[in-house]
This record gives sequence, C-alpha cells and structure tokens, in this order.
Amino acid sequence: MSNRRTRHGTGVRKAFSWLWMLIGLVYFFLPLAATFLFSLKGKKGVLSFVAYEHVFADPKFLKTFGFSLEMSILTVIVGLALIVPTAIWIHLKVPKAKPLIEFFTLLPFVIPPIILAFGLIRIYSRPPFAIVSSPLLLVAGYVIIAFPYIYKSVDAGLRAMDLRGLTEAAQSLGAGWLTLLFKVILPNLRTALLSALFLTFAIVIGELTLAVLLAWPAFGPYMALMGRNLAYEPAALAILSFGMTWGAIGLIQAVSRGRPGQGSNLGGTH
Amino acid sequence: MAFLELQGIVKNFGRNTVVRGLSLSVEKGEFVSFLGGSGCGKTTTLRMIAGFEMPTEGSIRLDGADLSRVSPNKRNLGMVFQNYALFPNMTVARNIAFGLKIAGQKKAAIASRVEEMLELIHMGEYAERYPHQLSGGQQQRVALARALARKPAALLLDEPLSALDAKIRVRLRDDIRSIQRSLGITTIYVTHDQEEALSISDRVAVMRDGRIEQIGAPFEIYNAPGTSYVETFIGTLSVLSARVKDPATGTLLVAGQEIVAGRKLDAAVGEELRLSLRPEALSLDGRERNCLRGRVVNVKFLGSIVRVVAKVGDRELSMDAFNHPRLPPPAIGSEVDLHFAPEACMVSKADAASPASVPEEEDEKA
Repeated sequence: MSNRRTRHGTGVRKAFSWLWMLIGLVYFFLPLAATFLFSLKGKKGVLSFVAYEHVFADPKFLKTFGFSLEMSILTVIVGLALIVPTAIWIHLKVPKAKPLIEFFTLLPFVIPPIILAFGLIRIYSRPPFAIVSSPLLLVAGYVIIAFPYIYKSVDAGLRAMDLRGLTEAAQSLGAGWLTLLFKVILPNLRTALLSALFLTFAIVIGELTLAVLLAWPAFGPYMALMGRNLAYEPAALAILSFGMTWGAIGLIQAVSRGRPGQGSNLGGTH
Repeated sequence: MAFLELQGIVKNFGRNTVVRGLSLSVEKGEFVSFLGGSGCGKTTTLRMIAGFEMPTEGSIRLDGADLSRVSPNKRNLGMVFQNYALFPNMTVARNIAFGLKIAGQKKAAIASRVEEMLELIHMGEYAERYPHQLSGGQQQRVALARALARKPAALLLDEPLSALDAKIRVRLRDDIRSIQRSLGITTIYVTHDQEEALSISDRVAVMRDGRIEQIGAPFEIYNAPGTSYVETFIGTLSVLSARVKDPATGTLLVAGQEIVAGRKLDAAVGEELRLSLRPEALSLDGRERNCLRGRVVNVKFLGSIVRVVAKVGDRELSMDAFNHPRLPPPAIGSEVDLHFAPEACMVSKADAASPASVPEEEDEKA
C-alpha cells in the first residue's frame, strides 16, 4: 500500500521535473532557434545559407578568427603553465593560501575589463615596459581574464583526487617532481585541464573589450562590427560560434569518457 | 648497530609537540608495530621514517646511513597507505610497474617482476583492471605489491586495514604477515587496533603522548604490562582494590577474602594496592590456588567465549570461559567461585592512576 503511494509520489515528482526541464529548454532554445531561422533568411522568400556564404566569403572573417585562435592558443599555454603548477603547489604545500587565491579569482569579475585595459596601457606603453604594441600584452590580459576559469577547473580536479596520498605514494616509489607531475597528477587532471582549455578558448575567441582597446584585429571586434552594419550575417556568426562552443564541450565529454578510471570518478577510491 | 635506528626523535608542529624523544632499534627482518590511540604520534613517527616529515630533533639511520638529508624518493622504502593511494589512471600492472620504471629497469625485467608480485598477492587475473574496478581489499593488495616490487629496504604500513571490513581485515592481516615472513623484510606497522598489533608483530611498541610506553613481544606486552596505561590499553582487565596482609608471602585481602600474589610485595601491611586480572586467567573450576567469591551480574555470550561478570565487593571481575555445549553459563544473580593462579595477579601501586575500571569498548574488541 505504502509502496504504491510512494511510487505514485515519485511519478508526480518526475512529471514536475520534466515540466521544469521543458520550460528551461524552451527558454534556452527558443531564441537560438529564432536566431537560426533569421540567419537563414538572407534571401527573400526562401530559406538559404546565403548569410553563411557571405560570412565565409569575407576574408576578414578568417583573418580575425585566425588571429583570435592564435591568441587563445597562446593564452591556454601561458595560463596553464602558470596556474596548474601554482594550484598544485598551493594544494600540497600551502593549503592555507587557498582562500587568498579564491579571492584573487574573483578580481577579474569585480574589475571590469575596461579598467584592466586602461591599466595595462598606462603601465606598458612607456619604458621600461613599452610592450603595448606587442600581442604579448593582449595574451597577458587574456590570461588574467581566463585565470578564474582555469584555476577553478584545476582546483576542482585536484580536490577530486587524493593529491597528497598520490604524491606520497609516488615519492615513496622513487618518483621526482617531474615524474610525479607528468605521470601521476596531470593524467588524473585530464578532464579538469580539458575544461580549462575549452573555457579559455570560448572566452578568448569572443572577447571584445581588451581587443578593441589594445587595437587588435580580433574576432570579437569583427563580430561587433558586423552586428552594427549587417542584418543576417551576425545571426549566422552567432550560430557559428555557438556551434563551435558546443563542439568543444562535446569534445570534452567524448575525450574524458575515452578512458576508464577517469571522468566522473576521477581519483575514485571506494 | 640495529638495521633501523631512531634516536631521540622530537617532532613539533608549530607549538605542538607530537613526538617527544622517541628512540627505537629495529633488527633486520623484524616486524614492529606502533600501537596507540589517535594523537599518540605513531603515524607522525612513521612519516618521519618515510621522509614525509622532518624530525625537529634526533636522527634516523637505516642500515648505517643517516636518512636525515635524504628526500623521500631516495630512501627506497615501501609505503602502504590507509586509503590505498593507487594511481587511478593506471592499471594494476602499471601501478606495480611504476617504481620499477623509475628505477630504470628493462622492460622484460619489469614484466617478470610484475607477474611475480601479482602471483604473490594472488591477483594474476586482475593485471589489466583499473583500481576503481577493485574492492578495497584487492586495492590494498595491489598497493602492497606496488610497495614491495622495488625490493625496498623496509616496508612501512600506515593503518593499512582500517578502511576494510572485519573479515577481509583479518585475512589480509595474515597475508601481510606471511608475505613479510617469506620476504624477510623489515616492517613498521602503524595501527590503533591492539588485536591487529598483537597478532601480527614480532614486537609491539605501545605509544602514548609521543613516547613509547613499552616495547616488547606481544606475549610480554600482554602478560607483563609495564605501566598502568599499557595494562588497561591492551586487552580486557578487571581492576580490584587489595589490602596488603603480609608482604613477605604476598598475601592480600580483596573484599575481605584472602588471596596470594605468589611473590614478595614491596609494600607495608595495610597498604592499598591495585590488583589487575585478565578475564582468561580466571576459571570456575577449583584447580587453582586463589579463589574469590562473587555474585554474577552479567553473562555475555560471545560465541566461542562466554564472559561472566561477577561483583566482588564493590568492583566487577570479568571471567572468560570457552563455550561448552553441555555446560550452560551460570545464571545472573547466582554466587560463583572464581579461581586463578598466583602468577595471574598483576599488582601495582594504587596511586599510579585512579583504579581504572575497564573501558567498555575494550570489551567489544577482546
């Protein structure tokens, strides 16, 4: 009797969860679908991919996209090289500093990019740091913007594994720091590193403020320019960038599911 | 000089002193357990041997060489952790091979050694599994094999069985001991479980407050506890208050009844002493010299053993008897005579500690 009632109860609850999910999906997908539909209306009266053709035909599209891609690769390399060892070091040696770093990760959200940009320009446009005309400064700015995302991903990955135990086990087996890093810690951080990587990509590819203020022909300013001057092409661009982001997320899922012993049960001891 | 020498080890964490002047010599091939409650410094001492902590004072020598300035990865000590700490990204075989690869051994040598280790832990068919596909007991076997694969100078185990359930704990404990014996490897074993320590070790070091209270063979520790702490920490113990009647013959009065302790006592007539008795030293039949009469207040049936608790004066006295199908235990409320030999009496000064009654939790373990 009570059994049946419970089953009935979960049934109702299930229906409700589906309802909420449906509402969420509509809220999320409706604008996307509308944008997609709009992007297909480049030619009067018929649905066509003409807007997409225009986008791809514009040499500036590939040029700016290529530039932003380059910048994002550099940002990922510099960002991971700086932040991953730092995060590991903090977890292992100075866990007391964790709250301080957490606070630092908030700064890029609290300080608007425009302030960051002006700060960078002021400091780095005169000797001894006259590097405002170098793309390195842009990368440095991007690393700051991407820092919270990279740190949070790595931090979550480190928390999910028994870092101290694995470190000590590896050391007792004769491993030095490099072996420990490349054979034990990084392989177990794979999912975390991938999500850091793709988040950084997604942010840097579409970034506007820094690129505009430091005057670089990046993809973000290009999209903004398109949006001001054209109707259908920006919609097509939006859909394209959505597609790329989703592709990246799908890739994270696929790769992290690739090997056993990783992914959701990262570092799992039961 | 002993194989492993700890001399005057002190360890401070900030203002906290965790280990206070600990010295210990371990012979080659010996199995020594550190036994004590939490915070007694046993794990910290083990971690100092492993090199994960640096002693504030004192020295650690292994096979004649000072380890103080040797980093953990150069000490060649095998370590087994409570939570296994297997590398989740590697199969069982690759976990075991990890240390061998670092040592730069040839592929063929590694493969044969891994096979040998898998055989040792009876897990040959699990070579290609990942840690998360194994049970806790299996994971700890793999961790043991991984630690032993490099033929370390000594094996350190930090509460390796604490995370496992009772049956597996006993089986794995026996396996650890037989593997240790067959390899003849010097072993330090940290545990808070007295039964584990007593059953597995050549010598047990009972630790308290950063010091070794007593170290000796399990038989010695159990039957001749050196301090009142060891006395009450190890095994179950009934503590009675006894008045000295004749120190020369070792005659005592317990709740008005006369018994003999079987040796001369260094005490004055009329002085109050602590008389401690192990439950298994008592029996209901009258072949022994001493006898105390008491009223049964509790009977615990523990399967192979029946524990009878009788009140003698205002104190409780526990007795263990083997279960016998034809001999039902005495009824609660009945009067019984509890017999014991003079040698079974552990007599100590009453002021050593307040006459400790036996903690109930110790009962459960015994």
